[in-house]
Amino acid sequence: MTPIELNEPLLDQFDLFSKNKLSKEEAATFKLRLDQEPDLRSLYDAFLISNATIESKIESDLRQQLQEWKEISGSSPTKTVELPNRRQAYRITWYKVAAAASILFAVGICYFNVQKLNREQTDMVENLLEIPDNATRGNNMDSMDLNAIASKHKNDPAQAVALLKKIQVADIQQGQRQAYMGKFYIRMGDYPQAMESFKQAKVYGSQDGDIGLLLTYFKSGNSSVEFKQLLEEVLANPNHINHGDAVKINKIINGIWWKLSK
Amino acid sequence: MDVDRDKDLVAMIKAGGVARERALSQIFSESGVKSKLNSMITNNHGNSHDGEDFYQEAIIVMDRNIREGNFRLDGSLSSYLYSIGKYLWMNHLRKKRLTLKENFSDSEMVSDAVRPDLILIDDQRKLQLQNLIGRLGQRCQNILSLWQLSYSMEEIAQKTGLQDASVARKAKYDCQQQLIKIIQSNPIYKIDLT
Repeated sequence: MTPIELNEPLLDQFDLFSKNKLSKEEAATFKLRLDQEPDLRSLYDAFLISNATIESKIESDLRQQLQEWKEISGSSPTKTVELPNRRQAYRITWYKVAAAASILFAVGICYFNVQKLNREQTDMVENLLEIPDNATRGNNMDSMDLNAIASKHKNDPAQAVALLKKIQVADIQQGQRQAYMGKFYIRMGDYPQAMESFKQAKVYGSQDGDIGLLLTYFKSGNSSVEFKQLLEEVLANPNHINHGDAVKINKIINGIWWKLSK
Repeated sequence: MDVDRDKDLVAMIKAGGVARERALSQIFSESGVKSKLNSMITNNHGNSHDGEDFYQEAIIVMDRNIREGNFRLDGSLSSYLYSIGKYLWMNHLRKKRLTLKENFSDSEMVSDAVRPDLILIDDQRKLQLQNLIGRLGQRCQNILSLWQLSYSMEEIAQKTGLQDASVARKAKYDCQQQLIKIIQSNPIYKIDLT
């Protein structure tokens, strides 16, 4: 009997079967094969063990991540720091102190500049992403509802997205809905979804689509070819509603501190 | 956490990728369950360090249950998280031949299907599994973890420095094959993990 080849289609089938994603008939046929073919069963068992091993890595990564969040939030247990013994401490000479001070000074200046620019970048991006209080009311009921939801839940992006998804709007407002969702996804840090929403906004003819996409690329630190192409497109069109913003973004990404801070 | 918000958080964890990270970070930073669990633990033979540790373990179990579809949102996500933490603590005490001073109330009960003690991997198994995945290169480990966490092939390519989605897909299959071959060539690992 020919040995079973562990190829891509078979791995896909294992995956679908293990996740109950095969149709009833396909699953029954596959189960019958597993019962009748010991080699296939052995491969499938190994596949399940491989999934368990990957899961153990995910678990250990999450444990580490939670620990980092705990430390960031300041509730980490007190760490014991060993003090140097007195004799070693006195051996520090003046020139070492001077050298250390110079290095600290230089690092401090760099850090200050990076921080300063980061603040400018952040302010600019946040201004563009701002959702006004008492949102600017549109001319019809649909846009009034969209703006009201966005404004009311501006500090709760998950809730805002859930409501924006639910609300029924006319075709003409679909672009605006997608652009709002894009902004909220950015706030949630879900950049792939934000891109999807802004692309949809463009499909529906919203002018916010381009700047939304640029901001998503910018915020996620993605300097891909698509980002540069889109930026060039907007820069090349002085009549584009977001031409001025694109100029600012361009200035930042061509600056030394953007490169340093990435 | 209200119902809509809980639904969104669950959806974000199921969606995987960055959305899952955001949801977990949000859940982790909400102090209500953490302090409730901490107070239950300190009133039942534990200290605040145990409270922190078991809160983290509860999040790990909750994440896994949600991703694997072993979770139905009947009550609130916070009471679910608290119940998991309480179960974990109860099991910990059981091993030390101690008991909880208080019982589970009806609202804290979770079904057997999601009880953490039934799905938690014990330490010995954990070691064996980590030993197995440790035989793969770091890039393969990352690719397979990201894939299991439902990252798209584009995202996997981006995060692991691969050229594009099709290269990532091919790499994922290669890594999966390598891992399965490692398992097959080590009969010691053919333990009852399934």
